[in-house]
Amino acid sequence: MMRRRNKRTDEIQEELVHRQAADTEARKLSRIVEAIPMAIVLTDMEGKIEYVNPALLALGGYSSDRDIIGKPIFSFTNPEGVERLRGEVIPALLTGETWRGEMGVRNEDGSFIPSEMVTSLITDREGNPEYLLASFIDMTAPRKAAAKLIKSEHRYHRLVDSANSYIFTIFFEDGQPVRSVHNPTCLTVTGYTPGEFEADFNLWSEMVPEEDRGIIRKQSSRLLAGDAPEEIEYRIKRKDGEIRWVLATVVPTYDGQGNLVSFDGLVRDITQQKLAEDKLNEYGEKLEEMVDKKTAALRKTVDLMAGREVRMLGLKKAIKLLRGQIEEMGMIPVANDPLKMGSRQ
Amino acid sequence: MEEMVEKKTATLRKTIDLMSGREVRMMELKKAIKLLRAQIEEMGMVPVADDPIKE
Repeated sequence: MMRRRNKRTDEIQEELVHRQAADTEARKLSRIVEAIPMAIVLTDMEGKIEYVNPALLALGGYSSDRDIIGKPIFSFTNPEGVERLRGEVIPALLTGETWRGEMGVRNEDGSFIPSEMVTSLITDREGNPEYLLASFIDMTAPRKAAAKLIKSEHRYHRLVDSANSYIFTIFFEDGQPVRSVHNPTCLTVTGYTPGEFEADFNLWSEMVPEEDRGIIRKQSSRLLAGDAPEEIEYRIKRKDGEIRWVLATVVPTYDGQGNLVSFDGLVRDITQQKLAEDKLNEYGEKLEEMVDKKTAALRKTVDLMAGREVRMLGLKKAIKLLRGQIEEMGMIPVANDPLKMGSRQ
Repeated sequence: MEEMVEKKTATLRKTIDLMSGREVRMMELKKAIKLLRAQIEEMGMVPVADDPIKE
């Protein structure tokens, strides 16, 4: 009897230890779930929400779980989400699979947050389905970033594919250019195909007339020295012999030791722009010439006018003397200084 | 630049107008000298001054 009681006490103590360990484990898990930044929802097998963690409340902008607990999970997603839950998620879980995919989560203001949902089934000790566990990751920011990237790529392709520009890459070894790669639109700008550039490495530099090669050499020196590259303008001689102006923008790549490995260049045909600039300069020069001519004529006129003023003073003086001579003789002069008499000056 | 040309042309035109006015006045002065000299000469005297820009 005594032995049996001792055995029972041992069993109770052992169970107590197990329960304490399980309780500790449960508390630990609970703390993890509460602290985890991933939004978590636990529902019963009918889809009724039994638990949400703080990250889910934050995701949906809810101030507390009061309005969530006890409600069906279907009321927290959009119509597409409901269809997906019924048609894909629950059937997958009931066959023991985990479901992963997109799911809109209803915000407190009624809008839906695009989320990545992962669901799994929690079973009891006997393997019977007990709960549905769903975790959510807010995809708003990644989606925006993806959209931005797509837009940026679109702009890049539009730039590269435009008829008057192309991209090339020059590879360096020991400070010397050894290989070049030109994209297909180089044909429009230069008249040469990428294959022709590949077959003749020096072609890209030989296209540049001798008088402009100094600009290229200066740019290369700058890149090799690790200095920031500048946009440069120079001429190229197309395959058909036509001279075109181009604007080149380059982006260098250096290895860990600071050695130039390659540079990517964007070449844009600016011939039309250059021609327009030349015309504008020519027009400006003509106008300046015209202004100079008019100014010279004006100066001549002013000089002439100043001479007339001096002569006019001489005439007025002569009139004064003649009138004085007549008046001295007691006579009245037959004429007066016409400028003395009133309105005219 | 065109605006500048317009301005200069307007100034030039004004100057020319002014100058042509001066020419008319000079003619009047010359005419007065001629009359006064004739009056003195009619009295049998020699005028003390002549038209300084007589051509």
